[in-house]
Amino acid sequence: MMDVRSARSLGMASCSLCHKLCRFVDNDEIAQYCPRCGTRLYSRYPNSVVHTWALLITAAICFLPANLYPIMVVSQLGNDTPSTIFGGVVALVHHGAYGIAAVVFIASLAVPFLKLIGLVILLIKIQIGWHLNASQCTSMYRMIEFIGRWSMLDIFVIALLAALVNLGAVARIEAGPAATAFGLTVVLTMLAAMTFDPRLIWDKEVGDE
Amino acid sequence: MSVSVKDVMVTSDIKQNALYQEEGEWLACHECDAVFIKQAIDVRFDAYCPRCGCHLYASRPDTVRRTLALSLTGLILFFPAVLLPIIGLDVLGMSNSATLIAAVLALFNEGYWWTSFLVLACSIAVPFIEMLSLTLVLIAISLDHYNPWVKSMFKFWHLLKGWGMLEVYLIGVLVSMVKLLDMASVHIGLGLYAFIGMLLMTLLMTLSLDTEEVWEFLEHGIHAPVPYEAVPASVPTAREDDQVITERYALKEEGLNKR
Ligand SMILES: [Zn+2]
Ligand SMILES: [Zn+2]
Repeated sequence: MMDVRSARSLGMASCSLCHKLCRFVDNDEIAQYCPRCGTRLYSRYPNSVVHTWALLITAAICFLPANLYPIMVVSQLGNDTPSTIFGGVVALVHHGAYGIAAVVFIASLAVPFLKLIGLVILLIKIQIGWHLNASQCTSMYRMIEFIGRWSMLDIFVIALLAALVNLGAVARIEAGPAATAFGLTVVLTMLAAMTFDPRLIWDKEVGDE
Repeated sequence: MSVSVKDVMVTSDIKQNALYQEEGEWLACHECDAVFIKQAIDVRFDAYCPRCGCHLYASRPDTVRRTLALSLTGLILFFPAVLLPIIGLDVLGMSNSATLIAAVLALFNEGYWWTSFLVLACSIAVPFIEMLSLTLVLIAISLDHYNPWVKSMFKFWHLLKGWGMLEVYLIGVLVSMVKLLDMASVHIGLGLYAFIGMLLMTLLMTLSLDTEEVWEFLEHGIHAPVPYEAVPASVPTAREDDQVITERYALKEEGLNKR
Protein backbone atom coordinates (compact mmCIF):
# COMPACT_ATOMS: atom_id res chain seq x y z
CA MET A 1 0.00 0.00 0.00
CA MET A 2 1.17 3.47 -0.68
CA ASP A 3 2.16 6.03 1.87
CA VAL A 4 -0.76 8.31 2.40
CA ARG A 5 -1.37 10.66 5.27
CA SER A 6 -4.70 12.03 6.37
CA ALA A 7 -5.47 15.71 6.39
CA ARG A 8 -6.17 15.44 10.10
CA SER A 9 -2.67 14.15 10.88
CA LEU A 10 -1.21 17.08 8.93
CA GLY A 11 -3.23 19.70 10.82
CA MET A 12 -5.70 20.34 8.03
CA ALA A 13 -9.33 19.72 7.25
CA SER A 14 -11.22 19.78 3.98
CA CYS A 15 -14.36 21.91 3.87
CA SER A 16 -17.46 19.73 3.94
CA LEU A 17 -19.23 21.96 1.42
CA CYS A 18 -16.69 23.23 -1.13
CA HIS A 19 -13.89 20.68 -0.44
CA LYS A 20 -11.18 23.31 -0.01
CA LEU A 21 -8.31 22.06 2.12
CA CYS A 22 -7.77 24.47 5.01
CA ARG A 23 -5.44 24.74 7.98
CA PHE A 24 -7.23 23.40 11.01
CA VAL A 25 -6.50 23.25 14.73
CA ASP A 26 -7.99 20.01 16.03
CA ASN A 27 -10.05 21.51 18.82
CA ASP A 28 -13.84 21.54 18.78
CA GLU A 29 -14.04 24.54 21.08
CA ILE A 30 -12.44 26.83 18.52
CA ALA A 31 -14.91 27.59 15.75
CA GLN A 32 -13.02 27.68 12.46
CA TYR A 33 -14.55 28.63 9.13
CA CYS A 34 -13.67 27.90 5.53
CA PRO A 35 -12.01 30.99 4.03
CA ARG A 36 -13.64 30.30 0.69
CA CYS A 37 -17.28 29.60 1.48
CA GLY A 38 -17.65 30.36 5.19
CA THR A 39 -18.87 26.91 6.25
CA ARG A 40 -17.76 25.82 9.70
CA LEU A 41 -14.86 23.39 9.44
CA TYR A 42 -14.75 20.03 11.12
CA SER A 43 -12.04 17.43 10.84
CA ARG A 44 -14.82 14.83 11.19
CA TYR A 45 -18.54 15.62 11.40
CA PRO A 46 -19.30 16.13 15.12
CA ASN A 47 -21.14 13.16 16.67
CA SER A 48 -21.51 11.59 13.27
CA VAL A 49 -21.93 8.06 14.61
CA VAL A 50 -24.57 9.03 17.20
CA HIS A 51 -26.59 11.08 14.72
CA THR A 52 -26.49 8.33 12.12
CA TRP A 53 -27.60 5.73 14.69
CA ALA A 54 -30.51 7.94 15.81
CA LEU A 55 -31.70 8.54 12.25
CA LEU A 56 -31.30 4.88 11.33
CA ILE A 57 -33.30 3.61 14.30
CA THR A 58 -36.09 6.07 13.56
CA ALA A 59 -36.05 5.03 9.91
CA ALA A 60 -36.23 1.35 10.89
CA ILE A 61 -39.24 2.07 13.13
CA CYS A 62 -40.98 3.91 10.29
CA PHE A 63 -40.20 1.10 7.86
CA LEU A 64 -42.55 -1.28 9.74
CA PRO A 65 -45.83 0.67 9.33
CA ALA A 66 -44.68 1.57 5.82
CA ASN A 67 -44.88 -2.11 4.93
CA LEU A 68 -47.80 -3.21 7.11
CA TYR A 69 -50.35 -0.51 6.28
CA PRO A 70 -51.83 -0.05 2.81
CA ILE A 71 -49.91 2.46 0.73
CA MET A 72 -52.85 3.03 -1.61
CA VAL A 73 -56.55 2.31 -1.77
CA VAL A 74 -58.19 1.54 -5.12
CA SER A 75 -61.96 1.97 -5.16
CA GLN A 76 -63.72 0.67 -8.25
CA LEU A 77 -67.53 0.86 -8.45
CA GLY A 78 -67.88 0.99 -4.68
CA ASN A 79 -65.33 -1.73 -3.82
CA ASP A 80 -62.35 -0.57 -1.81
CA THR A 81 -59.20 -2.66 -2.26
CA PRO A 82 -56.29 -1.48 -0.14
CA SER A 83 -52.82 -2.64 -1.20
CA THR A 84 -49.49 -2.62 0.57
CA ILE A 85 -46.11 -2.00 -1.09
CA PHE A 86 -45.52 -5.73 -1.39
CA GLY A 87 -49.08 -6.23 -2.67
CA GLY A 88 -48.35 -3.72 -5.43
CA VAL A 89 -45.32 -5.72 -6.53
CA VAL A 90 -47.35 -8.97 -6.52
CA ALA A 91 -50.08 -7.29 -8.61
CA LEU A 92 -47.50 -6.21 -11.18
CA VAL A 93 -46.16 -9.78 -11.37
CA HIS A 94 -49.73 -11.05 -11.99
CA HIS A 95 -50.08 -8.58 -14.86
CA GLY A 96 -46.93 -10.05 -16.37
CA ALA A 97 -44.97 -6.81 -16.03
CA TYR A 98 -41.93 -8.53 -14.58
CA GLY A 99 -39.44 -5.79 -15.42
CA ILE A 100 -41.48 -3.06 -13.77
CA ALA A 101 -42.24 -5.37 -10.83
CA ALA A 102 -38.51 -5.89 -10.33
CA VAL A 103 -37.87 -2.13 -10.49
CA VAL A 104 -40.56 -1.40 -7.89
CA PHE A 105 -39.39 -4.27 -5.67
CA ILE A 106 -35.78 -3.08 -5.75
CA ALA A 107 -36.64 0.60 -5.28
CA SER A 108 -39.18 0.34 -2.48
CA LEU A 109 -38.27 -2.84 -0.59
CA ALA A 110 -34.71 -3.93 -1.32
CA VAL A 111 -33.08 -0.48 -1.33
CA PRO A 112 -34.40 0.82 2.05
CA PHE A 113 -33.66 -2.54 3.67
CA LEU A 114 -30.14 -2.81 2.26
CA LYS A 115 -29.47 0.81 3.17
CA LEU A 116 -30.40 0.15 6.79
CA ILE A 117 -28.27 -3.01 6.93
CA GLY A 118 -25.33 -1.41 5.11
CA LEU A 119 -25.17 1.63 7.36
CA VAL A 120 -25.48 -0.53 10.47
CA ILE A 121 -22.52 -2.62 9.25
CA LEU A 122 -20.47 0.55 8.70
CA LEU A 123 -21.37 1.92 12.14
CA ILE A 124 -20.48 -1.33 13.87
CA LYS A 125 -17.20 -1.51 11.94
CA ILE A 126 -16.28 1.95 13.22
CA GLN A 127 -17.43 1.38 16.79
CA ILE A 128 -15.87 -2.00 17.52
CA GLY A 129 -13.01 -1.79 15.01
CA TRP A 130 -14.25 -4.69 12.93
CA HIS A 131 -11.64 -5.61 10.32
CA LEU A 132 -13.34 -5.04 7.01
CA ASN A 133 -11.74 -3.86 3.82
CA ALA A 134 -11.91 -0.07 4.05
CA SER A 135 -11.97 0.37 0.31
CA GLN A 136 -14.96 -1.94 -0.06
CA CYS A 137 -16.71 -0.21 2.84
CA THR A 138 -16.29 3.14 1.11
CA SER A 139 -17.65 1.69 -2.13
CA MET A 140 -20.65 0.40 -0.21
CA TYR A 141 -21.18 3.80 1.38
CA ARG A 142 -21.02 5.47 -2.02
CA MET A 143 -23.56 2.98 -3.35
CA ILE A 144 -25.88 3.61 -0.39
CA GLU A 145 -25.70 7.35 -1.00
CA PHE A 146 -26.38 6.90 -4.69
CA ILE A 147 -29.32 4.48 -4.61
CA GLY A 148 -31.18 6.07 -1.67
CA ARG A 149 -33.12 8.52 -3.80
CA TRP A 150 -34.63 5.73 -5.92
CA SER A 151 -36.87 4.71 -3.04
CA MET A 152 -38.99 7.79 -3.71
CA LEU A 153 -40.33 5.99 -6.78
CA ASP A 154 -43.39 4.56 -5.02
CA ILE A 155 -44.34 7.92 -3.53
CA PHE A 156 -44.25 9.53 -6.99
CA VAL A 157 -46.33 6.70 -8.46
CA ILE A 158 -48.99 7.13 -5.80
CA ALA A 159 -49.09 10.90 -6.27
CA LEU A 160 -49.55 10.47 -10.03
CA LEU A 161 -52.19 7.74 -9.67
CA ALA A 162 -54.13 9.75 -7.10
CA ALA A 163 -54.19 12.72 -9.49
CA LEU A 164 -55.07 10.66 -12.57
CA VAL A 165 -57.62 8.14 -11.31
CA ASN A 166 -60.11 10.54 -9.84
CA LEU A 167 -63.30 9.58 -11.69
CA GLY A 168 -65.88 9.83 -8.90
CA ALA A 169 -67.78 6.59 -8.22
CA VAL A 170 -66.32 4.72 -11.21
CA ALA A 171 -62.73 4.58 -10.09
CA ARG A 172 -60.62 6.34 -7.51
CA ILE A 173 -57.12 5.82 -6.18
CA GLU A 174 -56.21 7.34 -2.86
CA ALA A 175 -53.01 7.27 -0.84
CA GLY A 176 -52.94 5.12 2.31
CA PRO A 177 -51.38 5.76 5.73
CA ALA A 178 -48.21 3.87 4.73
CA ALA A 179 -47.35 6.69 2.31
CA THR A 180 -46.44 9.01 5.19
CA ALA A 181 -44.39 6.35 6.95
CA PHE A 182 -42.64 5.36 3.74
CA GLY A 183 -41.81 8.97 2.87
CA LEU A 184 -40.32 9.37 6.35
CA THR A 185 -38.24 6.20 5.93
CA VAL A 186 -36.77 7.43 2.67
CA VAL A 187 -35.94 10.90 3.99
CA LEU A 188 -34.50 9.56 7.25
CA THR A 189 -32.26 7.01 5.53
CA MET A 190 -31.06 9.72 3.12
CA LEU A 191 -30.28 12.00 6.06
CA ALA A 192 -28.53 9.12 7.86
CA ALA A 193 -26.28 8.58 4.83
CA MET A 194 -25.53 12.31 4.78
CA THR A 195 -24.63 12.59 8.47
CA PHE A 196 -22.40 9.54 8.27
CA ASP A 197 -18.77 10.56 7.83
CA PRO A 198 -16.99 8.08 5.49
CA ARG A 199 -13.60 9.35 6.66
CA LEU A 200 -14.19 7.48 9.93
CA ILE A 201 -13.87 4.22 7.98
CA TRP A 202 -10.24 5.03 7.20
CA ASP A 203 -9.17 6.44 10.55
CA LYS A 204 -7.82 3.20 11.98
CA GLU A 205 -6.16 2.01 8.79
CA VAL A 206 -2.51 0.96 8.80
CA GLY A 207 -0.11 3.49 7.40
CA ASP A 208 -1.98 6.46 8.76
CA GLU A 209 -0.51 7.86 11.92
CA MET B 1 -20.16 15.70 -25.51
CA SER B 2 -18.39 12.64 -24.33
CA VAL B 3 -16.78 12.42 -20.96
CA SER B 4 -14.01 9.93 -20.73
CA VAL B 5 -12.83 8.77 -17.37
CA LYS B 6 -9.32 7.93 -16.35
CA ASP B 7 -7.72 6.97 -13.09
CA VAL B 8 -5.16 9.50 -12.09
CA MET B 9 -2.66 8.25 -9.62
CA VAL B 10 -2.10 11.53 -7.90
CA THR B 11 0.60 10.40 -5.53
CA SER B 12 1.23 6.75 -5.23
CA ASP B 13 4.94 6.06 -5.06
CA ILE B 14 6.33 9.06 -3.26
CA LYS B 15 7.90 8.44 0.10
CA GLN B 16 6.48 9.96 3.25
CA ASN B 17 7.86 13.40 3.80
CA ALA B 18 9.21 14.00 0.34
CA LEU B 19 5.60 14.07 -0.78
CA TYR B 20 4.63 16.89 1.49
CA GLN B 21 7.65 19.01 0.74
CA GLU B 22 6.78 19.10 -2.92
CA GLU B 23 5.36 22.30 -4.34
CA GLY B 24 1.80 22.51 -5.55
CA GLU B 25 -1.74 22.86 -4.30
CA TRP B 26 -2.82 20.16 -1.89
CA LEU B 27 -6.22 18.62 -1.66
CA ALA B 28 -7.77 16.05 0.59
CA CYS B 29 -10.12 13.29 -0.47
CA HIS B 30 -13.46 14.09 1.19
CA GLU B 31 -14.30 10.41 1.68
CA CYS B 32 -11.06 9.06 3.13
CA ASP B 33 -9.17 12.24 4.13
CA ALA B 34 -5.98 11.27 2.25
CA VAL B 35 -3.90 14.28 1.20
CA PHE B 36 -2.62 14.59 -2.34
CA ILE B 37 -0.95 17.14 -4.53
CA LYS B 38 -3.25 18.36 -7.23
CA GLN B 39 -1.99 17.45 -10.66
CA ALA B 40 -2.97 18.69 -14.05
CA ILE B 41 -5.41 16.51 -15.93
CA ASP B 42 -6.54 16.76 -19.52
CA VAL B 43 -9.79 18.45 -20.39
CA ARG B 44 -12.84 16.15 -19.97
CA PHE B 45 -10.91 13.85 -17.62
CA ASP B 46 -11.63 13.14 -14.00
CA ALA B 47 -9.27 12.54 -11.10
CA TYR B 48 -10.13 9.81 -8.62
CA CYS B 49 -8.68 9.11 -5.21
CA PRO B 50 -6.10 6.31 -5.59
CA ARG B 51 -6.91 5.07 -2.09
CA CYS B 52 -10.71 4.87 -1.99
CA GLY B 53 -11.80 5.64 -5.55
CA CYS B 54 -13.78 8.74 -4.69
CA HIS B 55 -14.20 11.36 -7.42
CA LEU B 56 -11.81 14.18 -6.55
CA TYR B 57 -11.95 16.77 -9.30
CA ALA B 58 -12.66 17.12 -12.96
CA SER B 59 -11.58 19.22 -15.85
CA ARG B 60 -14.39 20.51 -18.03
CA PRO B 61 -13.98 22.70 -21.09
CA ASP B 62 -15.68 26.08 -20.99
CA THR B 63 -17.67 25.07 -17.92
CA VAL B 64 -19.34 28.41 -17.17
CA ARG B 65 -20.77 29.12 -20.62
CA ARG B 66 -21.84 25.55 -21.36
CA THR B 67 -23.53 25.01 -18.02
CA LEU B 68 -25.20 28.40 -18.27
CA ALA B 69 -26.66 27.51 -21.67
CA LEU B 70 -27.94 24.19 -20.32
CA SER B 71 -29.45 25.64 -17.16
CA LEU B 72 -31.19 28.43 -19.08
CA THR B 73 -32.70 25.85 -21.45
CA GLY B 74 -33.74 23.81 -18.43
CA LEU B 75 -35.42 26.84 -16.86
CA ILE B 76 -37.37 27.53 -20.06
CA LEU B 77 -38.49 23.88 -20.25
CA PHE B 78 -39.49 23.93 -16.59
CA PHE B 79 -42.70 25.88 -17.21
CA PRO B 80 -44.28 23.61 -19.86
CA ALA B 81 -43.08 20.58 -17.87
CA VAL B 82 -44.93 21.73 -14.77
CA LEU B 83 -48.03 23.27 -16.33
CA LEU B 84 -48.84 20.86 -19.20
CA PRO B 85 -50.31 17.40 -18.54
CA ILE B 86 -47.79 14.59 -18.15
CA ILE B 87 -50.13 11.65 -18.75
CA GLY B 88 -53.77 11.41 -19.75
CA LEU B 89 -56.33 8.69 -19.11
CA ASP B 90 -59.50 7.58 -20.96
CA VAL B 91 -61.90 5.22 -19.25
CA LEU B 92 -65.57 4.56 -20.11
CA GLY B 93 -65.87 7.79 -22.06
CA MET B 94 -64.40 9.84 -19.24
CA SER B 95 -60.97 11.38 -19.51
CA ASN B 96 -58.59 12.87 -17.04
CA SER B 97 -55.04 14.14 -17.14
CA ALA B 98 -52.43 14.92 -14.53
CA THR B 99 -49.76 17.61 -14.32
CA LEU B 100 -46.84 17.69 -11.90
CA ILE B 101 -48.72 20.22 -9.76
CA ALA B 102 -51.92 18.13 -9.83
CA ALA B 103 -50.00 15.17 -8.42
CA VAL B 104 -48.88 17.30 -5.48
CA LEU B 105 -52.36 18.74 -4.94
CA ALA B 106 -54.03 15.31 -5.07
CA LEU B 107 -51.99 14.16 -2.06
CA PHE B 108 -52.50 17.48 -0.28
CA ASN B 109 -56.28 17.36 -0.71
CA GLU B 110 -56.39 13.87 0.75
CA GLY B 111 -54.70 15.17 3.88
CA TYR B 112 -51.22 13.78 3.23
CA TRP B 113 -49.58 17.18 3.57
CA TRP B 114 -46.15 15.82 4.53
CA THR B 115 -46.00 13.43 1.58
CA SER B 116 -47.29 16.11 -0.77
CA PHE B 117 -44.59 18.46 0.49
CA LEU B 118 -41.99 15.79 -0.21
CA VAL B 119 -43.27 15.29 -3.76
CA LEU B 120 -43.39 19.07 -4.28
CA ALA B 121 -39.81 19.46 -3.07
CA CYS B 122 -38.26 16.57 -5.00
CA SER B 123 -40.07 16.97 -8.31
CA ILE B 124 -40.73 20.72 -8.65
CA ALA B 125 -39.17 23.02 -6.06
CA VAL B 126 -35.63 21.64 -5.73
CA PRO B 127 -34.97 21.15 -9.47
CA PHE B 128 -36.28 24.67 -10.15
CA ILE B 129 -34.31 26.36 -7.35
CA GLU B 130 -31.22 24.36 -8.32
CA MET B 131 -31.37 25.54 -11.93
CA LEU B 132 -32.28 29.10 -10.95
CA SER B 133 -29.50 29.51 -8.39
CA LEU B 134 -26.91 27.95 -10.69
CA THR B 135 -28.03 30.22 -13.55
CA LEU B 136 -27.73 33.31 -11.37
CA VAL B 137 -24.28 32.28 -10.10
CA LEU B 138 -23.01 31.60 -13.61
CA ILE B 139 -24.47 34.87 -14.95
CA ALA B 140 -22.76 36.73 -12.12
CA ILE B 141 -19.45 35.06 -12.98
CA SER B 142 -19.79 35.82 -16.71
CA LEU B 143 -20.54 39.45 -15.89
CA ASP B 144 -17.58 39.54 -13.52
CA HIS B 145 -19.89 40.70 -10.77
CA TYR B 146 -19.05 39.47 -7.30
CA ASN B 147 -21.21 39.92 -4.27
CA PRO B 148 -21.42 37.96 -1.06
CA TRP B 149 -24.83 36.73 -2.20
CA VAL B 150 -23.33 34.97 -5.21
CA LYS B 151 -21.29 32.77 -2.87
CA SER B 152 -24.31 32.21 -0.63
CA MET B 153 -26.36 31.18 -3.65
CA PHE B 154 -23.72 28.68 -4.75
CA LYS B 155 -23.57 27.35 -1.19
CA PHE B 156 -27.34 26.97 -1.29
CA TRP B 157 -27.03 25.05 -4.55
CA HIS B 158 -24.55 22.68 -2.87
CA LEU B 159 -26.97 22.06 -0.02
CA LEU B 160 -29.87 21.22 -2.34
CA LYS B 161 -27.80 18.83 -4.44
CA GLY B 162 -29.16 15.31 -4.12
CA TRP B 163 -32.77 16.25 -3.37
CA GLY B 164 -33.90 16.84 -6.93
CA MET B 165 -35.22 13.54 -8.28
CA LEU B 166 -36.38 14.11 -11.83
CA GLU B 167 -34.99 10.82 -13.14
CA VAL B 168 -36.76 8.87 -10.41
CA TYR B 169 -39.97 10.71 -11.29
CA LEU B 170 -39.65 9.71 -14.94
CA ILE B 171 -39.48 6.03 -13.94
CA GLY B 172 -42.47 6.75 -11.67
CA VAL B 173 -44.45 7.96 -14.70
CA LEU B 174 -43.54 4.76 -16.51
CA VAL B 175 -44.61 2.56 -13.59
CA SER B 176 -47.96 4.37 -13.23
CA MET B 177 -48.64 3.93 -16.94
CA VAL B 178 -48.03 0.18 -16.68
CA LYS B 179 -50.27 -0.03 -13.61
CA LEU B 180 -53.14 1.67 -15.43
CA LEU B 181 -52.84 -0.21 -18.72
CA ASP B 182 -55.46 -2.88 -18.04
CA MET B 183 -57.86 -0.41 -16.44
CA ALA B 184 -57.92 2.32 -19.05
CA SER B 185 -56.19 3.65 -22.13
CA VAL B 186 -53.27 5.85 -21.22
CA HIS B 187 -51.65 8.49 -23.40
CA ILE B 188 -48.61 10.67 -23.04
CA GLY B 189 -49.13 14.39 -22.56
CA LEU B 190 -47.10 17.24 -24.01
CA GLY B 191 -45.72 18.03 -20.58
CA LEU B 192 -43.82 14.73 -20.51
CA TYR B 193 -41.69 15.78 -23.50
CA ALA B 194 -40.80 19.05 -21.79
CA PHE B 195 -40.13 17.08 -18.60
CA ILE B 196 -37.74 14.71 -20.36
CA GLY B 197 -36.01 17.72 -21.92
CA MET B 198 -35.61 19.33 -18.52
CA LEU B 199 -34.26 16.05 -17.10
CA LEU B 200 -31.72 15.84 -19.95
CA MET B 201 -30.60 19.41 -19.26
CA THR B 202 -30.02 18.68 -15.57
CA LEU B 203 -28.06 15.52 -16.41
CA LEU B 204 -25.89 17.38 -18.93
CA MET B 205 -25.39 20.14 -16.36
CA THR B 206 -23.85 17.68 -13.92
CA LEU B 207 -21.53 16.52 -16.71
CA SER B 208 -20.45 20.00 -17.79
CA LEU B 209 -20.15 21.67 -14.40
CA ASP B 210 -16.77 21.87 -12.72
CA THR B 211 -17.63 23.08 -9.23
CA GLU B 212 -13.98 23.54 -8.29
CA GLU B 213 -13.49 25.95 -11.15
CA VAL B 214 -16.64 27.89 -10.23
CA TRP B 215 -15.32 28.19 -6.68
CA GLU B 216 -11.97 29.41 -8.05
CA PHE B 217 -13.82 32.06 -10.03
CA LEU B 218 -15.84 33.09 -6.98
CA GLU B 219 -12.63 33.32 -4.96
CA HIS B 220 -10.28 35.00 -7.40
CA GLY B 221 -12.37 36.36 -10.27
CA ILE B 222 -12.69 35.12 -13.83
CA HIS B 223 -9.63 37.00 -15.09
CA ALA B 224 -7.22 35.29 -12.75
CA PRO B 225 -5.28 32.51 -14.45
CA VAL B 226 -6.91 29.19 -13.72
CA PRO B 227 -4.31 27.04 -12.02
CA TYR B 228 -3.75 23.48 -13.10
CA GLU B 229 -5.01 23.91 -16.59
CA ALA B 230 -3.98 20.96 -18.69
CA VAL B 231 -0.56 21.30 -20.22
CA PRO B 232 -0.31 20.13 -23.86
CA ALA B 233 1.24 16.69 -23.98
CA SER B 234 3.96 17.58 -26.49
CA VAL B 235 5.54 20.97 -26.26
CA PRO B 236 6.61 22.06 -29.76
CA THR B 237 10.40 22.35 -29.67
CA ALA B 238 13.11 21.93 -32.28
CA ARG B 239 13.66 18.22 -32.58
CA GLU B 240 16.84 16.40 -33.55
CA ASP B 241 15.43 15.44 -36.96
CA ASP B 242 14.88 19.08 -37.79
CA GLN B 243 18.48 19.87 -36.93
CA VAL B 244 19.76 17.07 -39.12
CA ILE B 245 17.63 18.31 -41.99
CA THR B 246 18.83 21.90 -41.63
CA GLU B 247 22.45 20.65 -41.52
CA ARG B 248 21.92 18.70 -44.74
CA TYR B 249 20.48 21.77 -46.39
CA ALA B 250 23.46 23.75 -45.24
CA LEU B 251 25.81 21.15 -46.77
CA LYS B 252 23.87 21.21 -50.03
CA GLU B 253 24.08 24.96 -50.17
CA GLU B 254 27.81 24.78 -49.49
CA GLY B 255 28.19 22.30 -52.34
CA LEU B 256 26.24 24.62 -54.63
CA ASN B 257 28.42 27.51 -53.70
CA LYS B 258 31.56 25.47 -54.45
CA ARG B 259 30.35 24.81 -57.94
ZN1 LIG C 1 -15.63 25.77 2.00
ZN1 LIG D 1 -10.17 8.81 -0.92
